Amino acid sequence: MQFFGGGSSLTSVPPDAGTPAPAAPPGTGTGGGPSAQVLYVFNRGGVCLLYREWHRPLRTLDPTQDQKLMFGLLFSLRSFTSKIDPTTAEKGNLGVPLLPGQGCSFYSFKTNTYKLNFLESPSGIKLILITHPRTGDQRDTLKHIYNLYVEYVVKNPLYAPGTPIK
Amino acid sequence: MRYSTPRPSNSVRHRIRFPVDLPRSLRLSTPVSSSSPAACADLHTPRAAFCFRRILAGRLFIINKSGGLIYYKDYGSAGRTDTNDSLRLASLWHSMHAISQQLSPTPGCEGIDLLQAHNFDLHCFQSLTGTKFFAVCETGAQNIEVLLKVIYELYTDFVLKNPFYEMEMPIRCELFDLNLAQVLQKDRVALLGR
Repeated sequence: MQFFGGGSSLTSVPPDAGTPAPAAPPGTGTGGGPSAQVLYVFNRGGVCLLYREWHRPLRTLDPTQDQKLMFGLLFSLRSFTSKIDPTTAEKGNLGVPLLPGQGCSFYSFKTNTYKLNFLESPSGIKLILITHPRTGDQRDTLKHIYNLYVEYVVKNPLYAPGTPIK
Repeated sequence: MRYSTPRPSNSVRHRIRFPVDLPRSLRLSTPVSSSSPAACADLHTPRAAFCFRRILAGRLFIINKSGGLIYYKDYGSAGRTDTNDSLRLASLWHSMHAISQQLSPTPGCEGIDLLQAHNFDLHCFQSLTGTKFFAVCETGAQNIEVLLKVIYELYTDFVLKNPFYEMEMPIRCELFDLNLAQVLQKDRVALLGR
């Protein structure tokens, strides 16, 4: 079963397809297409499982610092959005770690130079895809990447959970 | 007349008006056809009425260049946010805005201007001096950038030109409150009357 397999394109994998690869959502290239610039995958504890970059002219920090900063930003943004959410009355305290799926989360933010797309799975896996600011909604792409992770990483018997994906 | 309260004379207003020719840093990523004078005229169009109604579901924050909350208004969100929490949220936003500039893959980043959450959208506008205006509104609300610029214009007119206002301090300007409320109220009336 796929966690995010709500979309018809994701669940309609023909049984005789041979490979268990989830079908890509329409209009998606392999892993985000040419507009994707950077991809991060974090686990629940903040370990960076995967880092890929396709277009990154500016580097202000070394990779580990950069990954820590990114995880910290997402952590704070999560607690910020769940606290500032105007539609729910009971919100708890600011800064208390939230469980995956608890409170109001966010799926993207946009600056003038990039757009960050974010997906958190129920098990706490965080997928971050940085794209060009003009790209549209990338939620389906992230679900597709998550399904690829489930198929080829989680189901790989040689993979030790919590270690970088090789 | 847009406002019943006294306003600066036309000539002065015209000179200090929100610059029509915006510097690059202030330009919107999606071109908005109306810059300032048009933005004011836009208040009377149904689209602007729509966006004003939308902000009524959320909150409005103004923070100074060091992250201190100088203005906060709640437009009917569920639950109550106490003063300390609104201060914390404001300074948290300030720091996340700064961190997002650090993480940019390409140079020239100016910080977050739209945050899309599952239950709301957060639009942020940063002025050249570092004052940030951000509004929490319903998802998919349009033209909030224009609205924030109108609020910025009210801020320059009624806060910065107030001789008793100290820079970077909380805004306690009657005229600003009055005009902000009037703009929102007028639009709500216009919306209900239609």
